[in-house]
Amino acid sequence: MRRLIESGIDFLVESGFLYLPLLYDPDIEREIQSIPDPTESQERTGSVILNKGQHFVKSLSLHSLVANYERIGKDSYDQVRSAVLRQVAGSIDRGETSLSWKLITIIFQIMPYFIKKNRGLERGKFNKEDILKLIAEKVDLPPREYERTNTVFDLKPLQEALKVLERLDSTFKPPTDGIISSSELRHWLQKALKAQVVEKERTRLRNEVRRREQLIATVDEDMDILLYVAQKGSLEINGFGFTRIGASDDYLIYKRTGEYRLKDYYGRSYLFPDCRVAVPTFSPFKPVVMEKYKHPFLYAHDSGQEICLHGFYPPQQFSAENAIHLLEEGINALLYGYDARRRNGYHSLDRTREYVRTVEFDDYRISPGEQTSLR
Amino acid sequence: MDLLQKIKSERAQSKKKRPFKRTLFDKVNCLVRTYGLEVSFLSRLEVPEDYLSEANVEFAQLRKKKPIEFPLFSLAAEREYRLATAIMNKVDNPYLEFAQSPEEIAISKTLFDLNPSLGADQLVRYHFETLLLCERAKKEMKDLAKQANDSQRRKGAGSARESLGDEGSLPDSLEQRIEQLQSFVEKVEDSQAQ
Repeated sequence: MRRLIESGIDFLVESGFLYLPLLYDPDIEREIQSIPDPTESQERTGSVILNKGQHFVKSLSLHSLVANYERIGKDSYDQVRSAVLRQVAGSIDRGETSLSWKLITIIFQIMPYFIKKNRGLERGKFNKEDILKLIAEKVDLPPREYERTNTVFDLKPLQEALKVLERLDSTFKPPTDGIISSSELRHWLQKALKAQVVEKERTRLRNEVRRREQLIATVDEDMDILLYVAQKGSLEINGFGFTRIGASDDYLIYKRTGEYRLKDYYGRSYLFPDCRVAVPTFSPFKPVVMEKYKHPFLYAHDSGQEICLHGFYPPQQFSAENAIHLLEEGINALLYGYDARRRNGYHSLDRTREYVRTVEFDDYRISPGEQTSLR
Repeated sequence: MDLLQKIKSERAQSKKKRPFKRTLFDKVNCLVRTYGLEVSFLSRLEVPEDYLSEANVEFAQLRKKKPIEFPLFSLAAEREYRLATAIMNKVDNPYLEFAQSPEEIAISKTLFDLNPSLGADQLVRYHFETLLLCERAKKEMKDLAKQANDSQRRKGAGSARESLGDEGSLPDSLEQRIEQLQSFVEKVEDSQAQ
């Protein structure tokens, strides 16, 4: 599309459609000549229009072009979008530095998956109130009022951004019928895309405000618990936890593996200590070990290493489903991924003579006597 | 053949795959676009491409065609289309479809007039300039041989063939020229035979 817009050729606009100069070959010329009464005036012949002696063929609906430009010309669309967002960014950026949607997602969507109810016959997932209660039980909450500004509960920045967007023009008319140069078309397209972005952003922000209002209504009295957790930046309950990275709005979400055993080629057992498998809330979304740790699927004996996963394609964005999936993949790889027969991974548990060993696991090996006592 | 068989064979024929062939327009239009030809090129076609002087024949190299990949089908803007069709109308000869450069388009008519029976393999292999020179060399050789015969006959000294080896032999320059032409023609024809 960009090549067409920057081609320098003149187009024709008619009833909201873009007409391109007709390209010829002998068959097309025969077809054109067979059209009855090709007068010099704009003669409508279905998809071909004769304008000032030049034939134009119907191509795109301009409305459809603008509506789908996000997919066909992503770069240009993103440029327009970021230009619009810069105008309202001042308002949005002030919000969500401590209690953000990421944290809300972690607490209300990821945490319940890993902390299951297991009290007698009562099983199942926690709902929002249960989670807040559980946190209140586990965390010593100091009695004080927490500031709600700069949190997800502070709707003011969003409302201000919405006001800025309301002031921006979101209407666009198709260009007037007739010949239009490629530079005029480009200019019109920019304006139309801007109007579309403004409209989309308005809808998005309105939905966002509504979503937050619903959340505020749900948590209401227990809001202080969330604000306390947000201020603290980290929490761990029943082996699941998260910790904020610096002062940013990004977290490492982790789950503890607990101690586990792996067997080598000869059936000897190795006891691996507990470690935290974590996934970040930012790209690249790959499971890592937080502690200094060694494992056949880890390249070295170090902290923060990526777990080697065969045929794994990391997701492109952060979501509760992706985070859960990543954590499970990472833990499953450590606990069940090693095949003693194939000795897969970077290292094998038992010594082999095929390559220079950098990581050894002899210190993890348990004697047969210990094995029986561990059982 | 009964009617049923006839229908069957006709259907089989119509279903048979035929190799895709580029049209003359595809080729000419490709040249127009590749070389950015203008309407002024048509005026160049008015003058026969007779720029090759006979004296150059001995120095002429065997010129091969510049390879060009013609598109499977071709669409052109109106201006290009009009030019391509005008070229096709003006240079209306069977050799045009083998032309691979504007120069060859211009020479094709002269070449066809000189020898309309050149085969496709010859036309595909050599630049039309080389083929034109070859045809001219053949013609010149014939003329020179005839000229020599006539002069011998005028002298009344037996047959031309007999006189060539004796005191009535051809002048050195004429002999040299015939040899040059012969060697050029042989070069072209030998390489075609390979």
